[in-house]
Parts: sequence; structure tokens; C-alpha cells
Amino acid sequence: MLLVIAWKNIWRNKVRSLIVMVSVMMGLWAGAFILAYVFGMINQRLEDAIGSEISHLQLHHPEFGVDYDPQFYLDNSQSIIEDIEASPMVDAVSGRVLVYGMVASPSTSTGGKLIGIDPEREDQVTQLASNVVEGEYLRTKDRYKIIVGKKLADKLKLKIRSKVVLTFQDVDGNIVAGAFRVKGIFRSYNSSLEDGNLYVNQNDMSALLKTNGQVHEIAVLMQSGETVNEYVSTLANRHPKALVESWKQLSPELGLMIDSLDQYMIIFFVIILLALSFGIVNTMLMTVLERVKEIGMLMAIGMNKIRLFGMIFWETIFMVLIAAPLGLLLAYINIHWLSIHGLDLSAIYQEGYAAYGFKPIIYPKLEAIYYYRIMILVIITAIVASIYPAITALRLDPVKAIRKI
Amino acid sequence: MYLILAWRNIWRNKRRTFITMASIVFAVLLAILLNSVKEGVLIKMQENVVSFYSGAIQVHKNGYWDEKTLDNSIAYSDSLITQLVNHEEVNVAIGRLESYALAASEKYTKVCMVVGIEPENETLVTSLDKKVIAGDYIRSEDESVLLSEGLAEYLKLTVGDTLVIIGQGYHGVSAAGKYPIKGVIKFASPQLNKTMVYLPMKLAQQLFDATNRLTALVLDIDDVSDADRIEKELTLTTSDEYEVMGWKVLLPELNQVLEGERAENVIFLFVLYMLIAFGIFGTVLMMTIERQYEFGVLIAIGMRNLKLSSVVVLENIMISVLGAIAGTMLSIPMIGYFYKFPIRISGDLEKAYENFGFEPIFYFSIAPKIFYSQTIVIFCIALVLSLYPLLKIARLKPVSAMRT
Amino acid sequence: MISFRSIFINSMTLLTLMVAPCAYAQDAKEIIRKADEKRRGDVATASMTISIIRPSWSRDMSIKSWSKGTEYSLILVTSPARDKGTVFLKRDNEIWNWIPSIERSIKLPPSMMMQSWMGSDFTNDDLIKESSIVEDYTHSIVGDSIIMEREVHKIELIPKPDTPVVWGKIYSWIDKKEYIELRSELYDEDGYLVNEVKFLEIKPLGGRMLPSIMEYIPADEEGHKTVIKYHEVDYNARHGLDFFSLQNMKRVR
Repeated sequence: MLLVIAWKNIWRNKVRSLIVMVSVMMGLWAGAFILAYVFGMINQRLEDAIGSEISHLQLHHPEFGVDYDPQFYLDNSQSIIEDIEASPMVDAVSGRVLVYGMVASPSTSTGGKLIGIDPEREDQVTQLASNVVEGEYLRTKDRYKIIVGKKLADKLKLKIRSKVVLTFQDVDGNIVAGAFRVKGIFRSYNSSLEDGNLYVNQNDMSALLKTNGQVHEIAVLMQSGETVNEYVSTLANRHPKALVESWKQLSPELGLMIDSLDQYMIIFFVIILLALSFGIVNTMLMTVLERVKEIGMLMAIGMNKIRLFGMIFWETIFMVLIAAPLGLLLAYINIHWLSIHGLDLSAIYQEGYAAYGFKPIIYPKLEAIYYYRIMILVIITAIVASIYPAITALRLDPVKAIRKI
Repeated sequence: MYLILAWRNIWRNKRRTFITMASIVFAVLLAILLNSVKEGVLIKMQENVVSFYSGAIQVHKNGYWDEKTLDNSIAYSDSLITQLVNHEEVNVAIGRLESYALAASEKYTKVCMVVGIEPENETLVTSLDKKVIAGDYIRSEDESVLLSEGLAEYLKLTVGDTLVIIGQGYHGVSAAGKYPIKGVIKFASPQLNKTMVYLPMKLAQQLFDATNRLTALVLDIDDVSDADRIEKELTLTTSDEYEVMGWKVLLPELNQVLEGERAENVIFLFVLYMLIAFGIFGTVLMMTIERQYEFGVLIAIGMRNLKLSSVVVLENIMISVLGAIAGTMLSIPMIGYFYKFPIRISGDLEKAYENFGFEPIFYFSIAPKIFYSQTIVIFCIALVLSLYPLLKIARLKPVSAMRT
Repeated sequence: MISFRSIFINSMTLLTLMVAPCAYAQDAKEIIRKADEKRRGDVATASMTISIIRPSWSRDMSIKSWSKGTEYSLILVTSPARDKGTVFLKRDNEIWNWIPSIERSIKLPPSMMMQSWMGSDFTNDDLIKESSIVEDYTHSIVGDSIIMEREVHKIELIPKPDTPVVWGKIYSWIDKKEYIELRSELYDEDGYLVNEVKFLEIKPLGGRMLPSIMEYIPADEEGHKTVIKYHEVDYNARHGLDFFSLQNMKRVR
């Protein structure tokens, strides 16, 4: 009986009910959206920061980092790469032959980090191909072609098809040299990469360095940033001879910043939750206020307080039950769409990173469990928010209440 | 006349007025809170970032950043320093002389970064003295060096041992020297921890045969967030011989993270304003519904629509103003509390902060700008939303209104 | 001083440029081969002054060098005073540096070996010299003229594909009778002159008539020049491998 009255009440004043329901829907949507956005952002920030250089984790010979001596390559590196690639947690993996050497053009010469790559794998890990602004990216069958940064190209006065000579020490300490033709010029937001990194095909480099097809560095991009630490220890166990380091170990400054930002996102999230709760509470308060006269009337005609409280309570429950699935659906559709198309923030960026081929696009993502959590949170907020006004209503003096305009 | 009417009206139904006002108060509070933590954290983070090593602004000889050699150094010049420090917001200009060289012990040799510093001033930028883990910090008259921990370990050297430095000096002269190690410093960044050697400026200038020369002047400024502007102003006032660079150029990858952060914050603000707007709208809407009967009566007894609208608008302005003021007043002690007792960072991150020598704290900003800008934004949102009742009044049919 | 590397280069360049004064012209390759022949010579000692000239400053330094093939060499700096007694030793792919002021010899680590050498006008190509002026180029006589009152061949050298040479082509002017290189011009692949090398003051050195001054002039940098002036050369010196040793580094004068 009470339930029927509550149900009918909802539709008696459609505008009022709609407001309550919409504010619950909004709350649900906002909560789910912000949470999805936070997750997407953390992921994106990590990818932006580590994407073009560090990757999620790297493997080296333990001695390699000391002085970048090329003789310290990873034994069995091809089988390590295959092993890593087989893991379902891994998105992409790239092996690199590395040596510090000289790069010379007719006009001048300078030092650089010479990187022998497998073009396809490297592109999967660092999106190198999309940073090539002039000429073309390397292909696996290219012989003695090189990709250089814009700044280096300017310094050495290089154009597409220019010849450069790379000189470095091989694993035995002999000085070796090779001539390479510029195939592409890349840009990077980080000018030191543009200045110092040169990319050539791994086979060419390997032959000159005599590393027997082994590599010095293996960079791994994970499916998700959350599994990095777990996978670092897995890899350390599986390949005890290699030094496995996560991006945080490789660049603690970056780790510090990203971790701090992630934590402070949580503060933001709490503030947003507060805002949505207050929105609902306020709307509920106003609703009861509007019904003072009606409630006074019901009390005057002898409805007891418990039943009255129950009625208001059930009204709230019904409204939330109608609004919650709708809100969830709205949030789901919205988040799902954005998770595919992304939320492009480039218009808000102050500086022109987009010029370097960087698109600050965030892909919000939310696992099912979080939808439920947000829903429960919002329902509890709505119910709690309805209790106070209901109690207030019960304290009303029926006579005064009726007289109220 | 309208004013008095409106004023009386809002106190006629106190509960309704308080609820509407409360929605605005909360909105102002939350908006200020969000912006305060946003600004506080970002500014603190910028300060942390520049204290890693670079400082907020550096001045070099033009072309040094592209080709970092001693030949691209500048002569120490009082007039340049005076000129830089004369800028109101620049506190001090600190000289550095940097060059790569070889560091060696009896058995081991490794490439290192040799930095000549003004030991007393350097601490203003990098708190280098707090990073000493063994021995003592150097003084400007010392003939001894500071060695980073990783390098010391590699070379198997410790405090009191002798470090050999070999490299090239100014105009390619040979540079070699051996120095007692006065202290060992620890950097949280492995890159720095592996490579740094600090010498008092005079000693470094001797080593590199670069008497009175510097590769960089590091500027300490009042507020890191003004670095861009100060960089531009200094570029205009200094001669073309020099290049002035802000930390955003010096540290592009860290700047990118912060820059991304700013863009991402916009979405938070957007969602917050949306929620706030809807919260206020909900109360305004309910208020309008509740008062339909009243409006109907007033119009029926001959009050003109325009007059009624004016009174309602005035009421809303009053409520909004009162709400905004109350919200701002309440926010002051709240932000003050968080400013005084900021949120402490816990867990692994706390350790990371301590490794870097930073306080593990989320700061709240008390910049006045935040208070008035947010108050104004919320006030405007409230005003725009209060136009809704006007629509209702304009379309009001007294008879049907009174019947509800 | 310029740096240990450029000093090697200088000593190697020296050997490269000392040419055999004999025979008569055959084809272009033969001319170059003869001009290059002494580079493969066994042992040589030399003393020279290197001057680095820049628009705003210049420096001189004197060195003595000993070498055996391209594998071993030892260089002693004799002036300026600041650097006097500094020794560089190249042996078995290692470079060692003896510094008398701190009484230490240090092996340069691999990461340092390839650092750019500041102050000098030489390119990296000079350093390696693994590329052979005879085998890595195709040669042709493209004309003749007169330089310093001597009749010379003008020979064009085009690098063979895939050789580690940055130049697009080189012109070399070589004395018709004595196979002395008197001048060379180095071009990039677009045909722009990049560097010019001049050989001056031919006089007896180590029993042969050779240019005693070499000027290395980058084409597009006004006022930059590196000049090497040879004082003495001895092709008959005999030094065993133990001369190129760490112990000897500290003793050599």
C-alpha cells in the first residue's frame, strides 16, 4: 500500500521527480566519467612520458650502464625478445644495438648515440615513424640508411639522401666506420633526443659492431602500466643474467612527478564526489520543502509518522532505482565512445607540442567493478540525502504546515 | 522599493533561502578548494623540478645550449650580473662552470660531469649541502671536491681519498688535476648520482684554464611560475651575446608532464562546474515550482510581470551575493587549515620524496586570485541560472498557477 | 692542445702526405698510390708545431711523435709549458694518457674515445684513416696546371659506393715528377667546397723533398685555420714495440 502511494507520488509531480532523477543520473555520470578520466589520464601520462624514450621497462647487461661499453650486450637477446613477446601482458618489445660514436658530414662532426633498431618493432614501442617529419621511416630491407633528428640535421647540414659517416669502436675496441644515407628526419619534444639520437637498421649496426646479432637494450611496452612492477620481477627471475629496470628506476624524477600527480588526482576525485553529493542533497532538501503543505495535510488527516517517513523513503528509492540504470547507461555509452575516439585536449595545451606530432588525447576507461562502486556510492548518497529532509518533514507542525503558502 | 521588497521576500521563507544559499556556498567552497590544491601542487612541483639541478632560469653565451663546450663560456662580468639581479624578481645570479671530463682513481676511470660552483650560493638553488652523506660540504676557498655517491662507488673512493680529473679546458688546453675528496653527495636521480663532481669555482677555473669564465649563470627567482615572463623580459634587456633560457626549455620532458597536467585539469574543472551548476539549478527549479502559486497570486492581484521579474532577479542576486560571500568567508579558514596542515603524502611516494630531499606534502595555494576568481565564476553561474524563474514568470498563467 | 685524437691524426696525416719521390706517371690510380706509399711506411719520428687559428684567438703547440705502422704511436707534447711532458700512447686499440703534473697514466674509456675533438679543423674522416685513399676511391686525371712553379696533375677522386667517406669528391694536385701532393680540395655531395688543404715550403725532410707546412682551411668558416709545420722527420728511426709501452710513456723526452 505504502509502496503504491510512493510510486504514485513520484508521477504526481513530474517536474520535481525529474529533477531528483536527473541529479542522480548526473551524479552517476559525473562520478563514473571522472573516475574513467583519471584512469585514462594516468595511463596516458605514463605513455606520453615514457612513450618516446624510456618505455615501461628495459633490459641491459648489468655492466652496460657503467660505461656503455658495446662488448656488454645481452646474450641470447633474440630468445629473450621472443620470450617477452609471448607474454600476454606485453604490448610491444624492441631490441636495440647501442653505441656512442661520432657522426660526420662534410661540414662537421659531432658525438651521438647510434641506435640499431628493428624498424617495425621500434615503431610499435616508441612511435618513431610518426615523428618522421621529412623523408621516410626506415624499412627492414633498407641497407645503410639512417634517421636523424632535425636539430642534428641542421647542425651537420644534412638533407634527405645526404651521406654521413658513423665512427665508433666495435666490441673488440677496433675503430670501425660506416657510411649511411639519410632517409628521414624526425622531431621530438625533447631536444636532446633530436640532437643526439640516430637510428639505423640493426643488421647494419650489428655487422659493424660485431655483436653477432645480439642487442644491448630491450625496451618493453606493456598493455597496461599497472603490471610493470610485477613483470619486472617476473623477467628478473626468468633472465637472471640481465638487469631489468622499470621506467621508475630508469627515471625517478619522472616517477616522482607522475606518482605525485596520480595521488593528487585522488584529491580532485574526492572534491568531485563532494560536489555531486551536495548537488543531490540540496535538490532533495528543496523537494521536501516544496511538499511541506502536502505533508502537513497527510499528518492532519492522521497518517502516522513512521508511515510518512516510509513513504518519502520509498519515493527516493524508486526514483534512484529508475535514475541509476539510466545514469549508468549514459556513463557507459559516453565512456565507451570516448575510450575509442579519445578526448582531444590539444586545444587546451598552452604550448605547441602538437607541432611535434604529439596529440594529447585521453582515452577514459573504466572497468565494470567501478561502475558498481560508483552506483552504490551515489545510491547511498541519495538515500542519506533523503533521510534528513524526511526527518525534517516529520517534525512539522501540521497546522502551521498547511497554513504555509 | 524593489530592493526592500526583494530583501523581505528572501527572509520570508528562511529555509528555502538557506538551502539555495547553501548550494552556492558549497559550490564556492569546492571550487576554491579544487583550485587551491591544483595551484599549490603544480607550483610546488615546478619548484621541485627546477631544484633537481637546472634552476628556474639560466643565462649562457648564445649557442651554448646547442653546443656545450667551454669555448662557449662567458666571461664573468659584474655588469651582466648587476643587470640580471636588477630585475625585481631575480634574487641572485649564481655562476657555474660545467664540462665533461674523466674522473679517475688508481684503478678506475669514468666519464664525469665536472661542475665549478659558488658553494655558498649553490645551496639556494639545489640544496646541495643537504645531499652530503659523508664528509663535509665544500667552501669557496677549499681546494677539495665533492663526489657523487655512484661515481665514488665505481671509482672505489671515499672521503679523504684523492680524485684525479683529466679533460680539456678552455680553447682545448689540457686540464688535469688531483684533489682530495671532501664530501660525498647522494642524488636520487641515478643519472646525476653516477656522474657529478663539484669543485669550488676558483679551483674549476684553474683546472680548465678558464680564469673568470662561466658556462652558466643560474638565476634564483621569487616565483617559478613567472619564469616564462622573466625569461622574456631578460632576453629583451640583455645583449644578443647571451641566451636566456627558462626551465621549460632546459627540462622539456618534465615540462611536458606538467603541461599535460594543466590541460587535464581543465576537464576536472569542467565537470565540477557542471555539477555545481546542476546543483544550483536543481534548487532554483524547485524554488520556482514551489513559488508558482505565490507568483500566480501576485499577478492575479495586478502585479505586472516586469515588476515581479525584477523582484525575483533582485532576490536571486541577493541570495547569490550572500552565498558567494559566505562561501568565500568559509573557504578562508578551510584553505588556511589545509595551508597550515597540508595533506601528507604517504607510502612509497613519501620515500621517493625524501630521497629527492623534498617534503612529502601536497601544498594548498592561498593566492588571492583563486578566491576571487572562483567566487566570481560561481556567482556568474548562479546568476545565469536564476534567469530560469524569469522564463517561468513570463509564461505564467495565473489561474493554472494558483491551481497547483 | 687540440686533443689527443687530432694529434694522432696529425701524425697520421703526416705519414699520408709524405710521398715517394720517384718513377713516372702512369694512370691516376698509380699516381695516388705512389703519393700514398709512404703511409704504409714502417717507423717514423717527427717533430712539428700545430697552430689553431680562430678569428678571436690562436694557440700553438709543439709535439714530437713516433709511430710504427698505423697500430702504434706515441706523442709527446713539448710546449706550451702547461702541457709540457704530456704523452699519448696508442697501442692495441687502447689510448693511454700520461700527465706529468699529476703523475698518472690513464686509459681512456671507450665512451671517451669517440668524443668530438674541439678546436681543430679536422673531420672525423681524418681520424679513422681506415679508408684507403687508393682502394676506396676511383681516380681519374682531369687536368694539369702549375702550382708553386711545379707541373702538377689534377686528379679527381670519387669515393666508391658504401665506403665510409663523407666527401662527394676530392681534387688532389700532385707534382708530376716527384709525386708530392701540393693541394687538395674536398667537396660534399652537392659539389660545394668544404675544405681546402694547402702544402707549402717544400724542403728536405728525412732525406726527401717534402712540403713542410700543411694548412687545413674550412671553406665556410671565415678566419678558421689549422696549420701544421714540420720541423724534422726521420724515416730511418728504429723502435721496437717496447718503445710503445706504458713504462716508456713516463720516460720519453
